[in-house]
Amino acid sequence: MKTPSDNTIISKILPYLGLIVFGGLLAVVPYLGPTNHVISLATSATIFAIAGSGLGFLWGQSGQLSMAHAAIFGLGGYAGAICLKFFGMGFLAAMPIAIVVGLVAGALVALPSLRTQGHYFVILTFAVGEVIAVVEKRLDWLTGGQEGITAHPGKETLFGLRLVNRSEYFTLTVIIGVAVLLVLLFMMRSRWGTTLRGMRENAPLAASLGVNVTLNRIYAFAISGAVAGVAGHLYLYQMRFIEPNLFTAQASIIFLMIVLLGGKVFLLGPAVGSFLYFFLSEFLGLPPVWNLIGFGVVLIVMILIAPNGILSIIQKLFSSRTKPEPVAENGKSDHVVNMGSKA
Amino acid sequence: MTKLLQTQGLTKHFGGVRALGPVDFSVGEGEIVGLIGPNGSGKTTFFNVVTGFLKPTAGRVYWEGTDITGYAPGKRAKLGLVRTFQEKMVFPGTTVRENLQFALIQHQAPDLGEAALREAMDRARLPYHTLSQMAGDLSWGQCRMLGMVLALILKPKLLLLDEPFAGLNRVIAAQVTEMLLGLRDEGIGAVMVEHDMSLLLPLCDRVTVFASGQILGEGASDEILSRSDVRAAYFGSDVVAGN
Repeated sequence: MKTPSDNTIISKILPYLGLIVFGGLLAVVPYLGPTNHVISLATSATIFAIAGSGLGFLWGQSGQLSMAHAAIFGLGGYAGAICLKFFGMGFLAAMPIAIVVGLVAGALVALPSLRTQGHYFVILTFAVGEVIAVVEKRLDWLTGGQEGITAHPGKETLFGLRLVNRSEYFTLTVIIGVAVLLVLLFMMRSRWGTTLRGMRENAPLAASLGVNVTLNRIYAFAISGAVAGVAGHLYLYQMRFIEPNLFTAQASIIFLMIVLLGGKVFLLGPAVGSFLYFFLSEFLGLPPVWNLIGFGVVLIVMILIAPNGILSIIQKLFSSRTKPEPVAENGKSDHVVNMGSKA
Repeated sequence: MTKLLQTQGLTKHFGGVRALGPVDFSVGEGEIVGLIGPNGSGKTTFFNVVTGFLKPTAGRVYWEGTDITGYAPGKRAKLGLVRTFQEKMVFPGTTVRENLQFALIQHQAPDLGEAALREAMDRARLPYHTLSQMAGDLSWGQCRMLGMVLALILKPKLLLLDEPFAGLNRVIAAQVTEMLLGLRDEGIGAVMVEHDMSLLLPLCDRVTVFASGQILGEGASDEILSRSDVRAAYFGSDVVAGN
């Protein structure tokens, strides 16, 4: 017979196991025979899903929206490219540097929140992002300016996976993506996650109950920036080239779109949004401008009918088919964030 | 009596307008003080400055003799100076369970489990089945009770309560009164802003009257409310003259 503590342990472990199984299934997709183009598309979708998950964590958990995310994503990529160009550091060696660059950049972007909040803060992050893009263009000696930097993976392997092989690189991005999501899931389910959601819901009350709201906002931004740094580094080796025009405000809008599309409060929301964005764009085959207009319309419709994204619709459908459970007196805690449940 | 909270010359200007001060005010351990005054007399501004949500233009705030004027609200709460809000009482988009766990986490409670939650729910007089309900879906009165319990979980030494009876029916108001009377037994002091004198006065050791951002008078409730200047400030000079 199961005891309440057994139930608690299972409910704690299950989301992590589910994520690993889901990642495992996704990672073997290239070996089922898709074309190189589809694999390349799926790799980009995975990388944007990772960066989007960082933004989703920041926005969905702590309630802060950043429009500088593409710039931080770019800084992660540039960190890897500069490490390779000047110091010959490969993918794995430069990864920690990309993470630290993202972390620090995230924290720095958050600093204006000491004095500004709400919409004004979002506009400020937009401006900071643009400034970073301009700096990337102007620092020719370091970033290669408009010419950018090329980055060929050579013969480097990680977990036995060759970076130069498109299929194996996809598997690698999925492994890293799952690792990132596991860390984010752990944070969302931790005491700190509860604190962040409290700040999101009512920052003055959170402060009045003992929370240093400013410091926690900076921490959340730093974590989100580190995730963007990882994704930027992965993007560098996917594109094998980096240049500043990849990381302008338009890229930030794409991140915003994929987070909104999937659902910002769901761990897997940005991933769902990212795959939808990349594969729908491919399926529809519209010219880039029409593509953006099309997604603009989709976004408006989404905001009107499901502001918490597609996963919220699925959650509603699922919960309407299942009877509400009697309220637990068995030690079950909802101090958790399930993959499919809103936090 | 040891002074828990003390302010000296506390002043707040918004541009050219003096909203508060200078205010010299103090509360002792376990003391319950009522703050009354007409709307716009500076009571909430006083709360905001004392709890660190607004920086004072001049003056100091002392907590158990230590100058805490530059402390952030969260740091003051950790010292035991905790406030509630008129309207933003709970975390609406999270469950009642997570609301309570939030406060328990800030109190660094080792246990966030059922026993701690049950104790808090009993204290808030909330039915246990509302634990999994969104706090924003609770009734106004239930939100008020939950908000008070969130503050009490932190085991404050002094509670600053901003209109704790606003919008409550008699049943819930009686429950809030009972909860506040319990504070005295636990040695928790309180400063309460409230317009309903019938509810406020029986709870208070003394009353402080604010008018135009300054303290007009302080003392026992009977004594202070019999003063004509206080009645004129609170009810208007026409009403007082009519009496």
